[in-house]
Amino acid sequence: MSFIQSALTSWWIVVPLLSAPVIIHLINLLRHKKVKWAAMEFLLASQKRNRNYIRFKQLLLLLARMAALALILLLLAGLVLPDQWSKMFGGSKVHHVVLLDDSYSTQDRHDDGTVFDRGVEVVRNIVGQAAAQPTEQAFSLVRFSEAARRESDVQNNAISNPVDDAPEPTQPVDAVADDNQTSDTDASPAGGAPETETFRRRRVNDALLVELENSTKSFEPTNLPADPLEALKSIGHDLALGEDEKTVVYLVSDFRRNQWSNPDVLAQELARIRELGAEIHFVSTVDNRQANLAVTDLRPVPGVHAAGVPLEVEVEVTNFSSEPIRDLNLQLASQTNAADSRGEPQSYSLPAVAFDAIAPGQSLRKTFRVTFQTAGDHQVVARLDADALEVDNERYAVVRVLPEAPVLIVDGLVDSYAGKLLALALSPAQRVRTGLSPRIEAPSFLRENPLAGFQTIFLLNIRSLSDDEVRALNSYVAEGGGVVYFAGEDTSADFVNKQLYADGQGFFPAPLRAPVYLDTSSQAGPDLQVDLTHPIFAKTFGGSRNSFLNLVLIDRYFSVPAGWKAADDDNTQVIATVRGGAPLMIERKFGQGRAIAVLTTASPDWNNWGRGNPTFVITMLELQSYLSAGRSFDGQLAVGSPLRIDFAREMYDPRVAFTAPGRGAVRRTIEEKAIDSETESRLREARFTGTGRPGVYEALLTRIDGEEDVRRFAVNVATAEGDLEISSPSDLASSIDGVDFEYHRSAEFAGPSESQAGFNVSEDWRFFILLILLLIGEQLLAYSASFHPPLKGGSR
Amino acid sequence: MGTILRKAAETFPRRGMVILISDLLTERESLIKGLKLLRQRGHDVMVFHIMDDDELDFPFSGPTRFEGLELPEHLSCNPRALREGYMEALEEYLDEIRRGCANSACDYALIRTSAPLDAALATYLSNRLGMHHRN
Repeated sequence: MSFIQSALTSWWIVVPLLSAPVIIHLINLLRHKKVKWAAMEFLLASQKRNRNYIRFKQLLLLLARMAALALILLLLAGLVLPDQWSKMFGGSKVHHVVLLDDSYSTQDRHDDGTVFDRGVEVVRNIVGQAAAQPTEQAFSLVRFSEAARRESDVQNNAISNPVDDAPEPTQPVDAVADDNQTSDTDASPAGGAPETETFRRRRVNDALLVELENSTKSFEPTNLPADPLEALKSIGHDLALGEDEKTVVYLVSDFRRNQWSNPDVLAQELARIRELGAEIHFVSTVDNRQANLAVTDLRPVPGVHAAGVPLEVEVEVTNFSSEPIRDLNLQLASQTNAADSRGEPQSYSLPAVAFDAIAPGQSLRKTFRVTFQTAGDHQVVARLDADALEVDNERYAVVRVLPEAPVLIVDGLVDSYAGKLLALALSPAQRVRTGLSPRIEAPSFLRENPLAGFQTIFLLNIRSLSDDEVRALNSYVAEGGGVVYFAGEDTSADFVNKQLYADGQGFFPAPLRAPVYLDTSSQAGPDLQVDLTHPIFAKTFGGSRNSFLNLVLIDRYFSVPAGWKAADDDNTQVIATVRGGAPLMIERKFGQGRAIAVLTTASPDWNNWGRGNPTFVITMLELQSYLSAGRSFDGQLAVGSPLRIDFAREMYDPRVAFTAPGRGAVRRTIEEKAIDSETESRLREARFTGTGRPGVYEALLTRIDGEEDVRRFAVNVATAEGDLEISSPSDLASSIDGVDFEYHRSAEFAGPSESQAGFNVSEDWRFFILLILLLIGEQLLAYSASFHPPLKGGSR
Repeated sequence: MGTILRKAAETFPRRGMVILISDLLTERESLIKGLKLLRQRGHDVMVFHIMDDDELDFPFSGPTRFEGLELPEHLSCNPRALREGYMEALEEYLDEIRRGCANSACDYALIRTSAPLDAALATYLSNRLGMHHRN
């Protein structure tokens, strides 16, 4: 027998409290009023007759009062009955459920180790203390990542494996390095959740202690941003609670503020757990916030990524600390891989990027240029100096560099000047390398060849297109392609409006009316007026007055119907006008891609733009770069996200070898068998779930002819988890207002006490009923013993 | 009280009217004998039994110490616990007095101290006169 609030059971509280009724009774006897009385004879007779009965009732009343006080004291002190007693009340077993935070913020390193190490120590303490209890104890351990993975598996199975076409199980076939050197974390499916032995409702005994001690040695935090929600959800669902047992839930976490960004949902889950009868304890494993810097983004700027052509890479550093950071140098490196080889990559250092100052909580972006001389997937790594949290100090990007970027120019006229001029603008000369490879074709090319390989398609001198050609263009744009349409003598407004614009259902941005001559008499100013905030013009012309643009003369252009205005849905916008404000260049987002209609000629027939004005070449290159962004290879994944690739089934073997980064230079290869794509019959899809470690992953495809293709992907940690700000106990209490919990610091938390290990009478409503009955009985006895005034007045 | 009544019977040998005004908190047997003796001597005896309201109703509550006026005893008690027994003892006593007066052919009237004595006497005498006229 023990008490939760044992201080309430001290003798200096118990003795005065229980003797209070007797003392009050004695004091009352001393405080009586005096009455001179003649009729003593009758009083004495009455007293003689009732003496024993009165004393008996008074004794009963005193005992009832003492019993009520004793019961109140026991309930307040939290009497915990031992096993053999508590069985009388239906409770005996105690189930300790530990939810352990293993998100990557627990890699936060302090003097005594990581925050995760502290959490593991708390787990050991809980089980150690539970083992010392006299009652039957059970133990369950749920890691945040484990619960998140289970939830993710359920969702993925529901989406991808609705019937019986599940892929064959993963089989490691080709470990290129010593497997013993890799941790479970590296090979874990679904991103960083380790395949550690699970502990579910295990009886606490010496064997479990030994097993846990051995297992926890290999426990490691993951690189995932897991929050407590899925772990909380598992209680009462995956982890059933017994009706005949007491459940104590320990949330062992670093309680970062970002993990509690959605407190309403968490409060709902915690309230549900309380309703299940469980006791909730928060054990915080971190007391103070440490400064942390993180590389929060690294990606190539969309555009032409061709061999030998400088490309821009954008990097972002975030200061997750309360102090500004000054004079920061971000180290950069690149690795070059040949496009068709698995050979050892070559590493190069790049000039560091300097950040003068980053304010607390702020992010700063910078771009740097890098040139890859060979085609293939190239890696870029940005690296910060070591700090409290190392995993977010590195970030990876993969840049897919093409030998040349093909651009299709569809010319309705054979060998027209406009086509040649445009091809020359996109690829001026051998010495000025743009990386673009323009190809001039007739309109029939659109229906006879796949268009997906082209970065951009330019349409010139088009009188009309067949339905198949229009359909191919619409699909191309909808899937992320970019199309530029130049108007001219051959433009048929009727065709454009019916086939390409199609009442807004096609990719063309606006309906056309007729070609008109520019009225230069009515208004002053340059003929061509561009939107300098638009990306096509902003980089080159924005912020400065460019006299070359002013030299562009527009003679004729295609007008749009009077009163036409771009829709308010942000999908259509006018990006250049002629003098007087009539639209000259109109952009439209269509599906994943974009189309731009230029309502004058590409050749200097209706204008003089292409006749020696350098802004024409610049604008065409920027136009191409802007429109090709939708087809740019990104190759960015978050840790834990499944890596999916699809490939033509007639070209490749269905077996795909995935290579994942491991600890240090160790890499690990796992083979997966692809399944038929559900969306497109000619494709197969392979899926790899072991993306638990940030780095560059490879998928090796073997062609039918024996050649190999390698596709590379950059996997990075989620950025928000790097914010190490912690929620204070008061923050936690207010965010989950109404949910009872106890807060502990890991350094002071010794595990469950004996008081938590038995049957707590204060949690059983029957004892409160007993108290109420006792108090009612006391009142009845008091009335019966005439200690209450009579119901009717008249007493003195 | 019995001694006093006996002395009164001896002191006044001629028939007359004896009016006894008392709380009668005395030994009952000698009281009744004294009354009978007065009647045997031919006196017309009227007993006015004066009692306090508190003595008749016993309205006390709360811890109280009763100190005897005519007896040396005292009693500390919860008066509400003793009230029922007290009232029973009082009724027994009043019954005994009433019966003794009736057996002795003495007129008896219980008068509360809260009631004005003249009004109580007038009422009693008026009743008594009426009874004689009817006889």
